[in-house]
Amino acid sequence: MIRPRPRLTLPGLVLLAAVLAGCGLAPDPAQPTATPLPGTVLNPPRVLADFTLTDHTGAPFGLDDLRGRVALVFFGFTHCPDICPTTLADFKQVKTQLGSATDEVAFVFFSVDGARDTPERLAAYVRAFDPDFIGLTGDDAVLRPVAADFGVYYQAHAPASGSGSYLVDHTASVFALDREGRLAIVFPYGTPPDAIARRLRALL
Amino acid sequence: MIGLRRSRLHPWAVWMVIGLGILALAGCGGADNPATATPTAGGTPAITVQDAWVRATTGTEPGQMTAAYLTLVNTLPHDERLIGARAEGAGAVEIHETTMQGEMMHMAPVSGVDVAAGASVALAPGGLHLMLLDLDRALVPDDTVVLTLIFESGLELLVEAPVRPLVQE
Repeated sequence: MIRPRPRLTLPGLVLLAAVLAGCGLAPDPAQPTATPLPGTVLNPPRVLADFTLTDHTGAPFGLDDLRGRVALVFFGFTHCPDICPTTLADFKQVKTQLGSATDEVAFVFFSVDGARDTPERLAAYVRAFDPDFIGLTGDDAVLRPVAADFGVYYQAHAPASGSGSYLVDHTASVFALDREGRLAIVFPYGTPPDAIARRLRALL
Repeated sequence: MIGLRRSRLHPWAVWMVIGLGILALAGCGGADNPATATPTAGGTPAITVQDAWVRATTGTEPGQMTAAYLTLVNTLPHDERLIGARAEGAGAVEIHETTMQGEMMHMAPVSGVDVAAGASVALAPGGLHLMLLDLDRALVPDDTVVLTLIFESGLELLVEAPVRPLVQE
């Protein structure tokens, strides 16, 4: 039995074109859609345990150094070629979008690789993105509980034979702290910079 | 700069390498949008490379690492498999894949990347990438890095990948 092939007739084409054209229509600005911004808001914000790490200048750095400012936080390592530079590039775009309000925001990169991420290496790393970005590092024994307090976990792979280089799996969420140094918002990995900037404005 | 480093290339592979070399040279002037056209579009089936780029390094001392990205387009009638790469100035190149397990970022070497006949595969941020290790120099925007892509069939492709800034507007 031969089944007739479906044919796209001229009226069909017109209808198809109309449907496709409709797909691209922008929503009516007079009727704003209630699309929630990405990110989980912690209500109430979660109090974090104080810590003392070393910043990229070699100076001690604790939660007190962030109080009074809103902070945007990411955990990573400088030998990470893909996710970490992508996220710090996003931080730079958040900073740009915040404009003058950026003076009240700290951008902080916590290392999960204290063994390799010396303050000197961190300094070169964070400054490659922005001179105001802050890098924090410390011994694993100090870093691990700080990370866990944010809900961040990390695990170094066994070094590849020969080179001695290794990778570190880690939680890739982005965190916002309020002016009291409390964990206020958790952004999933890949949250667009403009959405982060809009959320941060609400904390300022 | 462009050369055939192995003698066991198939004849069509030679043409592809030459074609890519021409493309790479033509792409030198436009760092923002390199290699967007295939030299064989509508012509001889080939494996081609589009949108190759390398992220600038974050440090200046030797021994830096970074990632390279590109899209492989296979118009050949058979599957191909990328099994390795070399990069000018890099001590080693590994094919890696970033995967997310929930919010946990996991990165691991992969043995190869299959590019089925007629298909294309993107090596892009947050997924597959070439990890360039032990670089002998810092890579800054507007540099170029010559990549040699090695396929299981014996085919090797050379491509000049421009270095893009860490933060792209």
